[in-house]
Amino acid sequence: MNHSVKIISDVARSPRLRPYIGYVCGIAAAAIYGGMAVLGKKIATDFSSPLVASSFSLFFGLIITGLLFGQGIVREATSLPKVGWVSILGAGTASAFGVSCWYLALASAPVVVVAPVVAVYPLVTISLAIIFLKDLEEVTRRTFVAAGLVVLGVILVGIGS
Amino acid sequence: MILGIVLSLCAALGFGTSAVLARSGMRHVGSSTATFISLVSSTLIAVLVAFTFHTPEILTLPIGVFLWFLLAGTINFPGGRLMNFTSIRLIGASKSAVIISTSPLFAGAIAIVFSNESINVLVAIGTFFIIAGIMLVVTKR
Repeated sequence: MNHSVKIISDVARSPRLRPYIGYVCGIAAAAIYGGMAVLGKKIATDFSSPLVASSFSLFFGLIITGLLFGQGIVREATSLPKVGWVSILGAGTASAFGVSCWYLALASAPVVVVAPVVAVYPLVTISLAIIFLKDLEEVTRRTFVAAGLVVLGVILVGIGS
Repeated sequence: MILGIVLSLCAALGFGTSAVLARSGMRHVGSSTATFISLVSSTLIAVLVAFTFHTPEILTLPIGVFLWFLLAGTINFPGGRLMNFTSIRLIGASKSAVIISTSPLFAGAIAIVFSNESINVLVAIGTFFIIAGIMLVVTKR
């Protein structure tokens, strides 16, 4: 795992290859999350409630990530400025908040209502990126249109299945 | 129903904000360190919420179930979240969010392969839109 990450890091230093590695990693993440939806459904149906499954999965994920990347994490974390800590801890908090709200929403409304509303989150990301990441990334009209198409597609797939 | 919609919007806000904050934080560190640090706060909150609502259930869970949690955690976080954060660092939060939001397509494909579910017209049209959206992001020059 460490070796794979090092290879990705080395390749990603090439400005020409950098976006392609980013796309591949994004698709890999989508595939893993898609697969996890199936595995998560089995766990939540057969063994425990979704919130319990999610919290213990996070706990084990934290331990495994620490074991895999421990040395590098300690080295980088010690030089991380306060603003970096706040941002990344905030990212984890926002993600956990999202997951908790998602499960609570499923307990209050049918999945055909919850799934399409949650699916608009790329539009939230893009809107926030325009406001807060002006100096880091450019958001074009093309990205907005792409997000709209994907959101519409995800909603149709959700309703259809 | 209204509460469900409000909670769904809060979930979308949480997921959307997470990517932007991660991008901002990864100015200073790599994606594996960012994944670990974000997991610290995610775990604390999720465990707190789980114990608040489900303590009796947690205390009676059989040991074998924890192996399923271990499997899910190993795939989802050193796998999924690390790839997610690496993608955010390399192509930005907005493009990455568009690509990663296609995960229901993969879930559907897995369900079709392993559960013998069939494709209907809505799923086919939805898949077309998703692929068109991804092509717009990936082919951008």
